Amino acid sequence: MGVVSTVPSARLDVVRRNNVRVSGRGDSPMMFAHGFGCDQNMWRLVVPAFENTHRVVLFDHVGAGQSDASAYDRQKYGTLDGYATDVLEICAGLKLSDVIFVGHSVSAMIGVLAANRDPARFKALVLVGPSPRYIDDGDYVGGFSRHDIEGLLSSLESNYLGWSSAMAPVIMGNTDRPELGEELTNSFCRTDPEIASHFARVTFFGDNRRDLGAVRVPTLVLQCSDDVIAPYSVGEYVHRHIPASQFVVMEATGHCPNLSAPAETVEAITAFVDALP
Amino acid sequence: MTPADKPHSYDVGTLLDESAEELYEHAPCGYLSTLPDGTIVRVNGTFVEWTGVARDDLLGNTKFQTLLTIGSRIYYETHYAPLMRMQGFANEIALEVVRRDGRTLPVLVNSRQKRSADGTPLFNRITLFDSTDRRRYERELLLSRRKAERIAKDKADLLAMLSHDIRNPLNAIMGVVQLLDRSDLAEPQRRFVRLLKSSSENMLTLLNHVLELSKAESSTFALIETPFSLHTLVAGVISTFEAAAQEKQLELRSSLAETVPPAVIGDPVAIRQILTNLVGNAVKFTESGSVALTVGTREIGTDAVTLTFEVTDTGIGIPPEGVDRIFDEFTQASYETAMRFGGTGLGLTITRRLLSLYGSTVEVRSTPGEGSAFSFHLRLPLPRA
Repeated sequence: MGVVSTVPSARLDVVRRNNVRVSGRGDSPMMFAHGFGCDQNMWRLVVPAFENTHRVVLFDHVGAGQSDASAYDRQKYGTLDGYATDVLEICAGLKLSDVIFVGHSVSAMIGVLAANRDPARFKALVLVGPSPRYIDDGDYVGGFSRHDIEGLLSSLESNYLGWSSAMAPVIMGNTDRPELGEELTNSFCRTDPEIASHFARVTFFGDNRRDLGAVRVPTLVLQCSDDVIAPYSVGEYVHRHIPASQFVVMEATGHCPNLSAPAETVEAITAFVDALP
Repeated sequence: MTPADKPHSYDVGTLLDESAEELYEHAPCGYLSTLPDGTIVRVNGTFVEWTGVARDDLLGNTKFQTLLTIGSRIYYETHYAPLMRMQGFANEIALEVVRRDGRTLPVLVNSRQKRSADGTPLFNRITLFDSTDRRRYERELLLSRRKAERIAKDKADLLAMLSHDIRNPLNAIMGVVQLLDRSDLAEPQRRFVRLLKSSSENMLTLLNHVLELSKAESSTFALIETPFSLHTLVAGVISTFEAAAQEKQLELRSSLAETVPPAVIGDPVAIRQILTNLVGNAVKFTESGSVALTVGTREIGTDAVTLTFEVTDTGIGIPPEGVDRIFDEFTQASYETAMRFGGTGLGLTITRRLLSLYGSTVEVRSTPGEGSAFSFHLRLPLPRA
């Protein structure tokens, strides 16, 4: 029974699968993709700044947030390509064109893959804290060793032990009253432990350095100061290998400027977007 | 009486003399206050002692996250920091602190964020508990869970393999029994052959169920998506059980609401199997009265329809304590049921597994002695007009 035929482009299914939320009043679509760890809520402080001028599309990767975890397929999501397929399917489902794709962390590379597969669909890429490869390799400094990443996987394991999966439905059932969920658990980063650990492997053991050179759309690389996950040298590497990309180093520290410094993040993205042809 | 024999008395005065400051400093847990970016601005003696780093080195120019192992630090950046910003607290986060001498200390972190009136984060209050022992138990738990899962999988694989290997010779035996049945036999021999026939049929059903279950549970199993008619499918399921129902003089009926679309997209083989299992059970466990299969619509959209399937019977019913058990592998509501009715106890396990692939579950309502109702919802896409 291994045969799967495709259902004719079912917009509804994509919207449900990836918990797609559309807002904003403009025509030009901006799609925001969250990184490893949390969900589309990561963009909560940034998105309002673009809703007056753009059609804003938010979504959760399968396995994160309120996506349909039953759509998780280890084979499909065994590389970032599976996630890029989802991005393209959402674009097709919503009939988006000239998309400005804003990807945080691992989603920066997912955006690169999607834009390389269907360049006509995208107007520009904004890569926030990107890394094409996390593990050091010869002269390339990704910032991590294989042993470090094993440490992360064991950290995930310890943490998910405490996150009763039985709790998830309770929270899911109260999405209109988030305060109920907040009382219960670390609800913003809830995810299926098995999926999270697989996603971590795919993210941190992946190597997408060769995909950078193929990018043909205008690209902004946003680099944080003192980001242990995507250090300066990695951001600079991404900038150097994507033709005609811009490189902006922010004052914000850490890996999530969209949360720690939303105003600076908005400012950098706006300057880039406004200057697009 | 020596001083050691004296009943112990507490010097309440001394205890109360301990200042809040002393308690903060020497509490059996680490206390930290950090700026939102992690910079440590206040720390207690317990934490200073744990890390082995001088207090002055910790204060003002060290970020809490830089004291963590790299794995923990990634977790801090990708989970803890977002949680603090978005919900203002984080509970029971497991991290590992690196001491000055390089040894690691597993800690459990609880954190609350102090915010200004307009919601701007001011600082984080952090409590850390030494969780060395707890982490050890967790490791053991994880290891034993993995071991149990591996053993269960090995057993299931073995069962599937054996079933497959037994089915082939069994088919040969059934063929020979059939030939024997057609030959000229005396009455006692005919009785023996009938016994052989029914026993081998039961055995084949069991084997088929085991194989279906292991197929449905394998990770490569995928539902087919193809347009089909529910009307035809339901008629097919009913006709399968007409003879059995007639034999027991049961009324067997089906009805589809007028709103059920002529065609839907789904896996007709899986849906037929689900309905066959439920109707088969209903017929089997009903001695008199009726069995009904109804299909209704719960929600009709332009792209998809949500259908409600229900199989009701006037059978023996299930005692409340049996309802949870009937979905377990090789389990029936009670030992007596199994003895009286036979069967593999796998039908409902397969049903539940197949429905879970659709993100659905079976609901059971039952009154012992009066009957049962098994229902479930399926959301199926509609073919493009």
